[in-house]
Order: sequence, then C-alpha cells, then structure tokens
Amino acid sequence: MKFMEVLSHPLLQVISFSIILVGSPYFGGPYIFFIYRALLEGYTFAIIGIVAILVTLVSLFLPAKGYMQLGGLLLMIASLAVFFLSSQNFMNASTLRELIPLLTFLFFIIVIAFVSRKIITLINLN
Amino acid sequence: MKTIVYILTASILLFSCKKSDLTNSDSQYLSKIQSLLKDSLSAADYAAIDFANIHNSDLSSGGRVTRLGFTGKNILHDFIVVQEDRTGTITQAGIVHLEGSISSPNNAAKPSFNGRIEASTLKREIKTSSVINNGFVMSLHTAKVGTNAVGVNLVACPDCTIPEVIVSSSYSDSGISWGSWMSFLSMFGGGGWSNEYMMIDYRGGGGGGSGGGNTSGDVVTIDMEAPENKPAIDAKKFMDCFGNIPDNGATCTITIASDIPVDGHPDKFFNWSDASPGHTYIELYKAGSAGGIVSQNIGFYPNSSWKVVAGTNIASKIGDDAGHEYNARYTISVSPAQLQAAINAVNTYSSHDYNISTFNCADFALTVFNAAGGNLTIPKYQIPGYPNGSTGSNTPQGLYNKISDLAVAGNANAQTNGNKAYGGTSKGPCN
Repeated sequence: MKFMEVLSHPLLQVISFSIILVGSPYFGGPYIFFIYRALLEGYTFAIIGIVAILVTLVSLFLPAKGYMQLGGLLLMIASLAVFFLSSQNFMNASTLRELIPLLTFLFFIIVIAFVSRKIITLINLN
Repeated sequence: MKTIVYILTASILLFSCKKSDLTNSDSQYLSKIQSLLKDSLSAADYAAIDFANIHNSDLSSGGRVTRLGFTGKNILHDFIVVQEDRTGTITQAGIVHLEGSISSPNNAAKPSFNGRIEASTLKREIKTSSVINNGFVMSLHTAKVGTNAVGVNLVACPDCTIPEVIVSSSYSDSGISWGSWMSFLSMFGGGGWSNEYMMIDYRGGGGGGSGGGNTSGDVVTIDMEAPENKPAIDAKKFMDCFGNIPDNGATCTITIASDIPVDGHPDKFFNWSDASPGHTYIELYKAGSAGGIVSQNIGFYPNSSWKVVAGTNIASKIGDDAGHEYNARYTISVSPAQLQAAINAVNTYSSHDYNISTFNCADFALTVFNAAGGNLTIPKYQIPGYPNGSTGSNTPQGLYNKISDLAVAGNANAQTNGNKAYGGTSKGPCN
C-alpha cells in the first residue's frame, strides 16, 4: 500500500514527467529543460507542460486532490503528445532508442498506471 | 541509398484546393504582377498575356506560384510562372513552354512523363531547354551509366532518383486517373532543387486557354524522411574511397553546408518542436580525369544526444549526411593535395569529443573546410544556455549568415535558399 502511495504521489508524477530524456540526433535532454526553454518562445507543448506541472502540484493542497492530479496527468500526456507528434518524423523520440532515455519514459508510464489506479480507487470509494 | 519517402499528404491537397476569391490582397498581388511583367516582358509578350486566365498555387512553405496564360495558347503548355514568397516579395518569374504526356498509363509498365520543356527568363533568355525523359529534365543531369532506368545523376538533388516530373494515380469506380506534377521552380537556374511540385494537367489534361478568373492550383510537397537516428559511420572507410581515383588531373571540390533550425529564420538558435539546433556538414568531391566520381557528405554528431544538455565533452560520431537538408552552402575548388589535407582532418577530428559550445558540428566542418584552404571564418554567437567565454561559438546560424554575406557580395560559390534544398549522395564506405 505504501509502495503504491509513493508511486502515485503527485511529486513523483512531476519528477517522472520532468526527467524523461527526449531529443533529436542533434540535441537532447530532460523534458523539463525543453519545457523551460520552449516556454520562453511560447511553444504549445511547453505551455501545456508547465500548466500540467502546476495543476499537479496544486493538487497537493486541495481537497479534491485526486481529480486535480488526474487533470495534471492528462495535461502531461497531452504535452508529450504535442511534443512528439509535432516533430518532423518523430525526431524528438530519437533518444528513446537508447536504454536510459527509454527507462525514463517507461518510468513515467509506470507512474501513469499507478496514478490511474489511485484515481479509479477514489472514484469507486465515492 | 537512403530511403526516400514521397509524402503526398491529403492535407496539403486539401489546403491547396481551396477556392479563392479576388480579395484586396489578390488585387494588389495582380497589380504587382502586372507591373513586373510590363517592365520585364517584351511589348508583344505583355500584350499577349491573358490576365483572365490565371492559375494560383499555394506553396506549403508559404507564398504562392501564379501561372498566367497567353491569349490563343493553351495555358497548360505555354505560360508565365511568377513566384511570391511568404513576405509578398516576388522572388522569381519566367516563361515556360512545356509539352509531353504520360507514357504507358494503363498497362503494367511504370508510367512516367516524357516530353520537352523550355524555361526562360521574362526577357526570353533560355535557362533550361531539355527533353524530359522518364520525368527527368535531362539537361540538369549528367549521364551516368547504370544509375536508375535512365542513367542520370543530378548536380543538386536529394539522391538523384527523384525526377523533376512525377506521376501520381488516383482510383475511382471509373478506373485510374493519372496526374503529372512538376518542380517548375527548379527550371530557372536558381541553383537548387525545389520540393514543391505543381500539377501540370490540372484541367484533366485537356481544356486549354479559356477558363478565366482566378483558380486555385494544386501543389504537393515532396519531403524526405529525416533519419530518426544517425548511425555512426567509419569515417576512414568513407575517406578511403578518394584514394581509388588518381590525383593526376582530378577535379576536387569541398562544400560546407548550413541547415539552420528554423527555415528562413537564421536568428533562431533552436527549433524546440524538432529539438534541433541546426546542423553543419561538409561534402568532399573528387572526379577523376579518366572517369570515376566520389562524393561523400558527412557531419559531426554527439554519440548520445541527450547528454548534450550538460554542456560537457561527450563522445562523438560521424554521420552520413547524404541528402541532408541545407539552407546555405559554399563550395570551393581545391587541388588533390588540399582535398587530401581535408581528408586527413576528417580522420583526425572524427574522434574528437563533442561539446555544444566548444567543438560542435560547425567547428568540425569548418576545421575540415579550412584544412583544404577554405580560409573561412564565421561570426560566433553565444548559444543560449551554453555561453563560451567571451568569444561565442561556431554555429549553423553563423555559417548561414557568412554565406549570405558572400552571396550578397557576388561570390558565385555561395548559395542560399529561401526555403531549403537537399545535398547530394554519398558513395559510402570503401575498403
């Protein structure tokens, strides 16, 4: 139970989202770096990404934290979708061919699964 | 040969098929064209223009191409081409005479376009006059036995397999319909291949000079599939190929090319949509006096791009940049000895560590280019987030700006492209 709480915690959700290693053959890094730099130039994925992080963090302090966290999670997925789908021929997913970047991505997927399970449990309790 | 993907997206067709009204901007555009043509054409040609017979095609890169017919002539065969860029500036114009047809459209043979084209300036100075053989405008190619069905090898094309005229098919209950598309913008000697293909027979192959009013045309953008990842090549084996051609009487050139991250915006250091800071690469070329050609396009890459973000020295690799996009390039003729010096530099620096601010793709390409006597220095810029002391770093943007300056100064070896073009092929490794 404790293990599930940790893996579905909003902070871990933000961390797992931020450390996904993405990039093209030319340049890459943690997703949070891309969000930070692209936000200054108004890129859609970055705006969605920063809102996702804020919503998730705010969920720590609100009564209906589960639903806020879910909203944050959906926005994170939307941010990544925009980022990958907007890139020419999926160049942004280039780094995912390497083990460490792929592991960071899989870690985020695991967190998604645990957060989803937590939300479903909350819904069932209500 | 790298995989080439013809992307004929439905969305492009959709957008290019929009009916347009004569708005104020259209009227202004037409006035601008009329003014240009009046100033540039002969009085007889200008008088023969049928301004009611206009065909507009929107380009995917922004801007548009307008085809205007002549009174009494079929606009599909005789027309004026005017290109306007996204800023509204007319970038090129010329007169085209085109004839031909699709061969074998309804049997097992692969259909292709055969005919003839004559493209000239508005003052009727011929720029391209050639037969079209299996879609290839032959005057743009040099004969090379054993390459493709028609044996061609183009000076500046992505991989020398994409013809200037391509044939497409569409299926319906009534059978197969064939269409032909041509890269008209490559015909006026601008020095590059355009990937914007305009429909030749947009009125179903018939029709002709009547019509009237503005119509919207069809354009397809043929794009190349960018590699998702760059496998490392053995640079020495690529360089060894040059040793197979005797130095005596050989013709050698070296080209440095810049691919800026955002086309048309050399001020942008990153394209965050594509995680690209741009790229710089070189092409080494050697042609023997008794035959034989070797061309190698190579570039310098981080071995693991996600480690670049740290800004430290990381392992590098050399990638095959055949068919790589470029926005500007600069070519110089060199002696075989100078080419050998460049080859030595490639072999030496191919194992150098990659560092985004102190030794990146631009540094590698410049080092090799200057080893061959290129004597090229480019403006250095501070890469955002990766400052390099007080000096700044070599970047694709700096190279682009330098080549632009050379082109403006009249250096014929410097070439810039408003949109983008693609480099040539690589021979590959030799043992």
